[in-house]
Amino acid sequence: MKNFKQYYPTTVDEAAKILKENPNDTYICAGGTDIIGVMKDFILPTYPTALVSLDRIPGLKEIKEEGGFLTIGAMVPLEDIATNDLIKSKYACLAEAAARTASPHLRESGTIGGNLCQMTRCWYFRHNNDQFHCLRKGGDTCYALTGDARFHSIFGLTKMCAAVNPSDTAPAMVVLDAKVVTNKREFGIEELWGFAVPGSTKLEHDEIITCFKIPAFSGKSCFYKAAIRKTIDFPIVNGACAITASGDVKICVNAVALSPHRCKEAEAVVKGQTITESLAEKAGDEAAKKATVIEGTGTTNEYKIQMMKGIIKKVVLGCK
Amino acid sequence: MTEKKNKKKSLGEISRREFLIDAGIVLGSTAAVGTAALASSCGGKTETVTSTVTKDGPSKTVTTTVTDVVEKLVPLSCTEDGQWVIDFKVNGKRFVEIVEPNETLHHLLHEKLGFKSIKTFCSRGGCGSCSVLIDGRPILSCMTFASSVHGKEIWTAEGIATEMPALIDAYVDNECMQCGYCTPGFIVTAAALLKRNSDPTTDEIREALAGNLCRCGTYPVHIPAVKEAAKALKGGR
Ligand SMILES: Cc1cc2nc3c(=O)[nH]c(=O)nc-3n(C[C@H](O)[C@H](O)[C@H](O)COP(=O)(O)OP(=O)(O)OC[C@H]3O[C@@H](n4cnc5c(N)ncnc54)[C@H](O)[C@@H]3O)c2cc1C
Ligand code: FES
Ligand code: FES
Repeated sequence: MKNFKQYYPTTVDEAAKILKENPNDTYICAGGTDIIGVMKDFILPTYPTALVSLDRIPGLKEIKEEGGFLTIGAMVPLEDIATNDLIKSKYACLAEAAARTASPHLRESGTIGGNLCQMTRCWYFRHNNDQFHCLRKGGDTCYALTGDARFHSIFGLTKMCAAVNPSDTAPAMVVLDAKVVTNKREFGIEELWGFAVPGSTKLEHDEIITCFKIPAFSGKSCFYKAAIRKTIDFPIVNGACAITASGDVKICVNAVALSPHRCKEAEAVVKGQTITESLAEKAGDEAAKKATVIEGTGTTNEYKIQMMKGIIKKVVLGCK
Repeated sequence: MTEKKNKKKSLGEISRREFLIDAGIVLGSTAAVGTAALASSCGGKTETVTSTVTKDGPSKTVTTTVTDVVEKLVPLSCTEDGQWVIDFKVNGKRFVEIVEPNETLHHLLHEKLGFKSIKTFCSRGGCGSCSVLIDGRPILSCMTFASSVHGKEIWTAEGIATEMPALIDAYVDNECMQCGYCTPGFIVTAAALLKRNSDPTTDEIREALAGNLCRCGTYPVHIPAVKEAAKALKGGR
C-alpha cells in the first residue's frame, strides 16, 4: 500500500467536514475489509490520498428497536446482526444474509454500512494496477462485454457497464423496506445504488450513512445465496423474499445487475396467493422473462438466469 | 522467544511495570522523525525507551520518555508526519507504538513486534492465517490498519498457548498440523469460539472455522480437537 493520510474523527460532523475539505480521492473507511483490498491491489486510477475512519465515532454501533423501527447503526459488524436474537426471530432474512456474507472473520470487522456501499467485484474492475481502465474508472469500455462475463449482469446494462452489485445483505434490506439515514437526509434503500465512478452508491462525497431504519416487521422472510463455496465466496446470485402480515410481497435478487434488482413481476405472481411449489416456480419464471445473456469469448452467463429462478423459488417457498 | 524479541523491538512495552502511564508520553526524538511532543501533564518517574521505526525505507530511531503516573491510556494522537501513536495490549502486555497509516496490523505485530505465529497466506482477507483476537473477536490482521487497534486488547496464538494450553494439547494430540502454516490461525479462531461457546457442536465448529484455509487438508481433525479442548477447559484445565 502507498501511504496516505488517515483521520479518526470522533463525530459525524467532523468526519463530513474532513471529507468536504478533501474532495479528491478521499474515502470513508468502516471495517476496511473492502477498501483495504482496493488499496492493496492499486485498483483505482488515482491512489486514495486519505481515509476517514468511522471507527471512533460513538453511537454508530447500536442495534435498537424504537418508534416502530428497528435501527441498525452503520458501523454494526455483520456478525452482530447475524447473531442478534431479535433480528434472527423477526427479520430472519437479514440475519441469514449477514450470516452468509464472506467469512466469520470478515463478518467480525465488516460492517453493514460497508457491505451495502462496497465497490463492485467485477474482475476487470478489480484487476490490479488499473490494468483495465473501464467505465467504472472513468474509461470508455466495459471489458466484460468482449471478455469473460460469466459472473456478470443478466439485467441489461446500465450505462453499458456489465458489473454487478456483490452485496449479500442488500436484497434482505430491500425486501424489509429499509430506510437509509445519512448526515444529510433519509431515503428508501433502493435509491442508494446506481452507476458511479468508482463506487456503487449515489451518496454525495461528504455524505455518511449513520444508520438504517427498518419498519417493524411481522411476517415471514427468507434469504438464499448461491456461491462456489459456502464461506468466503461472493454470491453468484442471491435473493430474498419478505411477505408482511398484511400480505405485501417483496422479492429482490442481487449479483444480477448493477444494483440490487427488485422482481416486481414475481411479486405480482405471489401476492394474495397461497404459496405452493408451482406458484414459487412461476414467480421465478416471471422474473426471468426480462433477463438477457452476455456471450463473451467462450463464456456465457446464461446459467445465472436458471440460478436466479431457483433462488426465487426457494425464497418464496421459505415464506410459506 | 518472542518475549526477548519484543523487548528489543518494542517502543513501549511497559506491562511489567507496576503502574500504567498517564497522558504524559513525550516523544522527543532524533532529527529523523519530526514527532509531535505530547505535553507531559504530570510529574513522576520517567523512563526512556528507544524504538526503531522501519516501515518502508531507512530506519528511524525514536526515543520515548514514558512518565508513569496513573492508569490512563496514552491518547490516540497523530504526529506531524501523519503517523499515529497508539497504545494497546498484546497477550496482556502493554505497548505504545508509532505506526504509519498504511501499516497493517499484521505488519506491526509480525514484523515489528515479533509475534511470528501470525502468518499470511493471501494478504487479502481470504484465508484466516493472519487471525488474531481483538477484544475477543477473531479478526484478520492483514485487513486491519495498525492504527485502528488503539485502546484494544489483542491476543495472538503465542498468548493463547499460555492461557489455554488444553487447546494446544488437543491440537497436538489430534495431529492438526501437517506443514503447520495455517495452525496459529486455526488456534486463534478456535479460541474465539471456545470463549463464546464452551460446548460447541460439530456444525458450530465447522461454521466457526470455515474462514480458515489449510492447504494440507487437515480439516476433519480440527473438529475432535476443538471438542476435546472444550471438554478439558470445562474440567478446569
Ligand atoms: C475474501 C473476501 C470475501 C468477501 N465475501 C463477501 C461476500 O460473500 N458477500 C459480501 O457481501 N461481501 C463480501 N466481502 C466484502 C466485504 O468484506 C464486506 O462487504 C464487508 O461488509 C464490507 O464492510 P466494511 O465495513 O469492511 O467496508 P469498508 O471497506 O470499510 O467500506 C466499503 C465501502 O463502503 C463505504 N462506506 C463504508 N461505510 C460507509 C458509511 N457509513 N457511509 C458511507 N459510505 C460508507 C467506504 O467508503 C468504502 O468505499 C468479502 C471481502 C473479502 C476480502
Ligand atoms: S493472510 Fe489475512 S486472511 Fe489470508
Ligand atoms: S497444515 Fe499445512 S496449511 Fe494447514
